[in-house]
This record gives sequence, C-alpha cells and structure tokens, in this order.
Amino acid sequence: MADLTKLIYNSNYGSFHQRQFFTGSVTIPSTAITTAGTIEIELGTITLNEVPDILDTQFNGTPPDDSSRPSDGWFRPRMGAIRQLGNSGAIEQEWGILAKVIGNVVSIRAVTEKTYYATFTPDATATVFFRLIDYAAIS
Amino acid sequence: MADLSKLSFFSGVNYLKRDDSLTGDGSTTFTGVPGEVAGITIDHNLGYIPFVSVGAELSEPGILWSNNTTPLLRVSTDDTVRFLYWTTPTQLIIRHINSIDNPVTGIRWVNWVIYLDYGT
Repeated sequence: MADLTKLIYNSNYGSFHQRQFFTGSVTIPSTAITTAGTIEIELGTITLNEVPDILDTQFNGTPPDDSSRPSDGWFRPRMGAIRQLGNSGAIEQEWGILAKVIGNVVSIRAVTEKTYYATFTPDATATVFFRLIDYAAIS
Repeated sequence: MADLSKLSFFSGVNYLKRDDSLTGDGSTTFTGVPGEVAGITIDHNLGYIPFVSVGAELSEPGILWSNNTTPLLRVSTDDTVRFLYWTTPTQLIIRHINSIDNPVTGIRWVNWVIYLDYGT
C-alpha cells in the first residue's frame, strides 16, 4: 500500500521549495594588507530574483592547517575559515567567510584580523567556492 | 494561464523535507582543558550537501544556541565554548570547542536536523 506521507503533495502544512540554486567561486585578492585590526572585504555579489524566505549559504575552500575540516566539508557563514599563505609562505592568514543579505542581493565577504605582522603580503589569491539555495515558502 | 511554479505539486523544483531518521541529539563531555575539542559525526549518506540546522549548548548548560552564534575567528580568541559544523555528501560533522579563557567541565548537548532536498 502506498505511504501517502511520502508524497510531496501531502500538503497539510506549508513547505519550502527551491527557487534558485547557484554554485560558483569568488576570489580573495592578493592585495597586501597593512592596516591593523579587523578587515572585511566584499568578494562578490549575487542578485536573486526575489527576496528569499530561507537562503542556504555554504562555502568550501582550503582550510587552515589547524582545522580538522575535511577538504569536501562545506561550512555556513562564520562556521569555517579559508587559508591564504603570505610573506613567502611564512604566514597563514585565516579568512572567515560571511554572506550578508540585503533585500535580494547576497554579498559574499571575507573577514580577517591582522594583528601580528606589520604587513601581510599574500603569495597568491585564495578561492572560495559557494553554493546558495534560495528557498521559497509555499502554503 | 496558471503559474505552475506556485503549485505544491510542481515537480520541476526540489523541496525541503524533514526526515525524522536524520534528526537527533547527542552530547559531548568537556574535562576542563582549555581549547579541547569534542566532536559528533553523523552519517547521512545522502550524496549531496544538505540543508541542516544545528544547535548546541555552549558555556551554560540548558541554553541551546542555534547555528550562527559563535565567535568568528580562532579558538584562541574565545572566552566561551563554541561550536562549528561542516557538511559533506556523506556526513554532518559537529565540533564542540572548549573556551580558552574560561574552560568548562561536564556534558553539553547538541541537536541537529538534516533536511532532505527532495527531488534529487
């Protein structure tokens, strides 16, 4: 006998469906950092068709050396960091990744705190992979 | 003309669907060591990165903090217990990290819900 609770159209309650799904990458630049304190830079923006009801944002990239996050582990904003080597490999800078949503625009941002070195000169850019899913409520 | 994307039974998009077998809780135990890491790993084996919701007790037992409440950067900056979590195509990995400055002892609970991306 069919289990009717498994049907999508068992709609006694509201649900969420995917409205848009984005995957891609943005880049942490190799620009030297000389300013002390917290630094936050915008890596890119994505414009959604509509203001999301639920926006799932997850990121992936090279973890810091002391992280136990696996290479295929994806993290939510503030739940992980991306590594960028600098000063000819002498420094490992950790960038936290954030997503700010204002209306229907998603801003992917990197934030770090430079406190120990006068200048951080990245050896290369660092790639941040993202996946965004805009879920819309239906009732 | 009907806008089919508004129908509940529009099957061209995926849905979030709760599965009770992917909902649970567990505990970690801190021994009072500054920065100690405890962990829970849940095998979901869905084959994709799912939408998840995670909550955890931090320094104070009985108060459940949800997802994005913990300090941003390194453990060494923390004055409270915090938690992190990552998702892979097969697992949800939760890390509970004791405070550096004010380490705690005892059990802390973690709750999670993994939603099916129905239609994949």
